[in-house]
Amino acid sequence: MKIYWKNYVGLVWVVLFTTACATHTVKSTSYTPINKDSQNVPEDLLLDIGVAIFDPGIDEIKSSEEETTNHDIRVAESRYAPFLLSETLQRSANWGIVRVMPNESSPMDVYVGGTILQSNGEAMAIRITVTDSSGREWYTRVYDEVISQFSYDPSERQKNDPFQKIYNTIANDLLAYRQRNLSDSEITNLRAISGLLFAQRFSPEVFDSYLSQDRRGNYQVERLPSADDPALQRVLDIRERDFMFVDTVQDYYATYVRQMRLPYDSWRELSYSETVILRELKASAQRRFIAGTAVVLGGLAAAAGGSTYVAQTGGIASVGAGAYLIKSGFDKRAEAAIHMEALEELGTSLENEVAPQVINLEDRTITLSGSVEEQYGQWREILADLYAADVGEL
Amino acid sequence: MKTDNLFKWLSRAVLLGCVGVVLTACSSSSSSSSSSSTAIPPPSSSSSSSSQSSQSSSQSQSSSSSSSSQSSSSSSSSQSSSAGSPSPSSSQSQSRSDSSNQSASSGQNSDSSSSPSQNQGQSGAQQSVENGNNSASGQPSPNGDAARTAGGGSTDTAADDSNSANAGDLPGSASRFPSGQDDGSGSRDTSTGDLTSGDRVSQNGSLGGGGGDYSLDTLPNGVLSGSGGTKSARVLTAAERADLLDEQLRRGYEKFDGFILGERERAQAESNAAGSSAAGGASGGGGGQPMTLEESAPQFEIPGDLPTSTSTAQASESFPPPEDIPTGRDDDVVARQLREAAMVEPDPELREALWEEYRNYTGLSEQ
Repeated sequence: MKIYWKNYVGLVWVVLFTTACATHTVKSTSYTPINKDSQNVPEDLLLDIGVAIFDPGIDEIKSSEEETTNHDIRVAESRYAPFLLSETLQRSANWGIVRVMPNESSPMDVYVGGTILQSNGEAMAIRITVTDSSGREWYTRVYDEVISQFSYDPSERQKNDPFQKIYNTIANDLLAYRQRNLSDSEITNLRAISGLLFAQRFSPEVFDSYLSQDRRGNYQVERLPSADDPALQRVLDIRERDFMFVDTVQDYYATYVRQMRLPYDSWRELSYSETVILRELKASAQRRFIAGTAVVLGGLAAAAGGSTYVAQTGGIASVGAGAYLIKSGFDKRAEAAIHMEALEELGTSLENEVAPQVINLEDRTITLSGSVEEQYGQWREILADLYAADVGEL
Repeated sequence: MKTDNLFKWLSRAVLLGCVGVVLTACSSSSSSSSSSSTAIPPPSSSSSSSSQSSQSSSQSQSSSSSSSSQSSSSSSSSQSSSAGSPSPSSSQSQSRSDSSNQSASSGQNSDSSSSPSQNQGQSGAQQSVENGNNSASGQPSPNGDAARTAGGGSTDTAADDSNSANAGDLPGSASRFPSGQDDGSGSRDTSTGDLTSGDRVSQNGSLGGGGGDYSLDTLPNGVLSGSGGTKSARVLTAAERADLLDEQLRRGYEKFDGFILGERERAQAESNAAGSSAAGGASGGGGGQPMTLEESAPQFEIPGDLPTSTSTAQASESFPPPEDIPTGRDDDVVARQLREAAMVEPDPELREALWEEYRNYTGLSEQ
């Protein structure tokens, strides 16, 4: 009799302990500031950064998050997050110009690409890949953050994005890598490569021989054009215009981010609440299933093995309690389903709001790029004619 | 009766005369069409000089000279016909290109088709070659070229020699060396001494004593037409061409700068408008499409459909909700939009109607 009671109590403790451990979540309320370079870096040693439009990561959505992830919102976020990252990098004052790049045709000294792995208002995960103009990959890292409700406090929200810590961490890692791995001469080299890559884009017949590629496909500077080379001056003039074009696209993105911020924040805040509730409900339902099952089994054992009337009655009561727990688990699961539907509805609402903005942004960017590219084509032809005139082919 | 017969004969004679006139008219028109059809670049056979002359003439000249090309083409059989009908000055280079200089002209015709001025230069060069050959037809003509057309048929060996000598280098040299460099070089003349002989004097009259040593793409325009060497249409030097291209680039920069700055102003205005409307609680729609470069002709213009500062100020003005309205923390998107619309509605009646709609939607009216 004593042994049975001991086993029963022990089993209940184990169940309670196990279920308690299953709901452990770490949330961060700390703020990571942006590190600034302690040295006063000369302007010609500041690397320009191009932040590519992120990959929405549709193909990498976990099956457990498939139902609650809205693809159109992911696409909208893939344009939203790069702009915040570029603003953060620009604010750090550790770099030259930092721009969200509409395409890959404008060479920059450093490229930052990303894939959104998770974003639900409570947690965000981004995989960041950094390369430079020579083609060398600096690193690939995953940044994730789970925030608390505090991050959506209006006073906090006015200051920063709820996931600003991620962007600050990315900026700090980028600076740390540059400080550790790049000498001044290497920085100069990277800047020369990006300039020559741009020159090759417009006047390949002149600048093709200035760069070569090693076995790994990384660019190397073979020689440098003279500073007073007229062909170089012409290309530099055009590059100034290309920067103007990229700056114009930044204004498009700024408009887009401003338009998206309010509904997106509202969605994230609501999604945060729903996600937390949903996760707790799911965990609660799971706990109840486990506990109920254990209690039912223990009750059955006590009822079957109990030698006394009290033990048998206690066992039967435990079975009833376990069955109730299992039923409440089902109830919690149903409640979770309601919140999941609420999340989907929230996603649809935001999708209806931001999807047209994404389309508008893309249309504008493509239209502008097309016009600019048309002009670039004419300039390429003129530069080719100039080259021919220079070498006496005309 | 006799008078009737006489009248019949007369009428027949008149009819025949008319038919004859019509036939001749037809024959002339067919010859013109044939001349235009011969405008295809000739095969490079030095013997068929007359047929080539019509080809090169049609290439080097514009459509205004079609009548002269007729005469030159018809001159394939008899030079006297062309000589007898002085061609207008515009056709002179055509008849001049009559020259038997096939090996040279064949290589240069491709260039001449793209640049008329070069073509004139080519024919001019051949003219100097021809001058040595055309002693048979050597009568000086007002334009100095009609007689030369006749000379195309009879090619001297000297001319052939000079042509063959130049065949290898003329095409290249023609494109490489602009007129300024070729003027007075005299290398070709001295190497082919025959070129300086013959009736050169008569032609130098039209060349203005230029020595006749023009490469195929550097002969001043108008020389062949007797109008004197005008420098305006001469082939550009590399430096001049580079200057022109740089000027094109500069114009492109100006156009681009105007376009992109206008677009930037527009985008920044939209961005500011979006920022202020976001502060007022309205998400707003997207901006318009950017203009293309062509559309941006009136540069630096900001489209008139942009929100003005007054409308922005109106949009940002908000009115507090009634006391029975809760905080709205749990509002869905529709309720939020209703709330936002009600809060920025200046008309009290409309505002109250919006709040009533909000109450109905959120179920507040049922409570």
